[in-house]
Amino acid sequence: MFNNLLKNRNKIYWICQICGWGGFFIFNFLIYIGYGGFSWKRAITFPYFALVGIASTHILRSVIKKRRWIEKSPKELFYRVLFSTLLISFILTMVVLAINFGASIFNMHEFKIAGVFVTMFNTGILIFLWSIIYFLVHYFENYKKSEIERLVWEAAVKDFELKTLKSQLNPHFMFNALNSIRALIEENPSRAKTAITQLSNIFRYSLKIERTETVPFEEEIKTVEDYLGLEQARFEERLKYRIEYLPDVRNIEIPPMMIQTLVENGIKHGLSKLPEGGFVNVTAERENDFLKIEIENSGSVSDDAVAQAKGYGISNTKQRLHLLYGDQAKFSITNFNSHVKVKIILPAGDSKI
Amino acid sequence: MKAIIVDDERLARTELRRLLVPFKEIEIIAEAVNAKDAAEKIALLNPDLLFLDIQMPGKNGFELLEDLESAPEVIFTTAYDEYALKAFEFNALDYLLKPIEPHRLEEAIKRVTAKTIHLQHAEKFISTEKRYLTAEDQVFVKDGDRCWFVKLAEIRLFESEGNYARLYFNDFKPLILRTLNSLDERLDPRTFFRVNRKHIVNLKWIDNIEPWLNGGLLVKLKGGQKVEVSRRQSVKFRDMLSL
Repeated sequence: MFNNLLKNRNKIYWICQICGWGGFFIFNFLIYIGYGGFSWKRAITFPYFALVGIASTHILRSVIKKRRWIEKSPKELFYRVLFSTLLISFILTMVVLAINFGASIFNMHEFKIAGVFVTMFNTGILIFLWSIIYFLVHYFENYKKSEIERLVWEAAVKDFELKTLKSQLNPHFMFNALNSIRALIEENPSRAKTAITQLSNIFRYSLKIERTETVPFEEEIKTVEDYLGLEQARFEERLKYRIEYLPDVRNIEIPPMMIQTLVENGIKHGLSKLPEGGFVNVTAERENDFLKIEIENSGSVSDDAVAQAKGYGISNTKQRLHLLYGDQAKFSITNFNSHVKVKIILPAGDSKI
Repeated sequence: MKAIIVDDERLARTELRRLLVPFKEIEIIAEAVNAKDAAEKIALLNPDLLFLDIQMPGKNGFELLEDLESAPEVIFTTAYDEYALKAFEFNALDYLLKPIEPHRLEEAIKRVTAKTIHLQHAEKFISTEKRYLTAEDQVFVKDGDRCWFVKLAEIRLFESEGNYARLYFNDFKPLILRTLNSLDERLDPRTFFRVNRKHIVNLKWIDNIEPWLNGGLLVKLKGGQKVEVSRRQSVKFRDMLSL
């Protein structure tokens, strides 16, 4: 692929050279004809000049490439271009003159020193223009390249951020669940069996989502159900929960572990702090092209915590939503009547974005 | 050894009770479901040992201990809490991770029983009198990230700071939420003496005593601290020391 690119670039270079100098030749030739007094002898100098132009700038290009002028600072580059322009225009003029004499296009008595300077000046401008175009093209290309690099880098960073934002299973929960199960083995073996299945479902899910950006709502809510089931084994009558949604939200893609984290935080910061316990309710419904998820739990969140996005996985969730959906997703957390309510609205894409 | 299990989860309490069955020396006299419940039962039953969960609704395990006038032996239990684990390791507190390994439980119990054997005799000896906090009692002190079980014998000096009292022991001087007056009432007068409005000294830590202004005294403690004995208290102090 790189070779192809190189070949392509070479091709483009030659097209530019030929078109540029050829265009210059045609343009001059037309003007010359327009002034009248056509002579073959004179006309022949134009393609001639174009060829010499191509040759000299080609040499200049190889010098530029070999000496890596493209990496020089603008100031260094300016002096180099100026010097090479003068040198090349001088050589060119001399060559052209020599050939002209050799082909006896001009006679000695037609020769004027001022004419030489005019020719030198004209060729100088040409070479200078050539250099400007050459370097502009390269700068533009480099800019584009670095732009692409920047985009690739940004995408990598975003990917990394999403990965780290994806909540892991909370070890505190895992060990408490295992401890409850150990007690249940003697007290209520069938409940212990269910609990082990629930725990393995959650564990499997947490392994699976390492490789995905979004999951169908149904998969996530299944995990939340298992999770709440396990927490209920632990908290017993202190935890009441309700999960409600209509079938039309099942296939909507959502970020994995998002509801799970919020429910977990609702328990951790909310009802686990209440001696009498409390409730967690999760509801989801479709509203046109959006999915609305609400998580409500007993307890309270301080305004400070909301402002600083501390606890409840607030900042984490916000960031994830922003990375995935930009401004299309909304997140809010409110406190009322000793309840905390988290509301999320996100685009209801049925397939991956 | 009389023990109370403090944990908000019934299953966790049940499981611990079951694990404790082989340990005949441990007699579980009660279970408590939160800090408030525990504080009441501790006051009523005066246990030798607590199995204490850290995360509980309401006050947590550390806060419960801070409220206790004198802390029994404590074995902490926790599932996983980075903050608490750091505190345990940093302060060399005895802790068990849930689910609890039987042999770890055995080690912890061995350590506690070894520590308290001589104490039990001492307690029996004084149990008929009004129970003061003696040099063998310990208080739980928390100061930021650090916490300690401090034997009163190690405390050189109590200093009043409003509703708080500052304890001086080793190189530390943390505050506890207790007025100097309330401490004065509870501390064993044979070991602790109120030298002035602001200070109670541990007599065992006195290095020397000099006469001071207005018929008062100046007490120099081991470690270099100096405290003035007010004139009024000096009389009592002299009497006590001459005994």
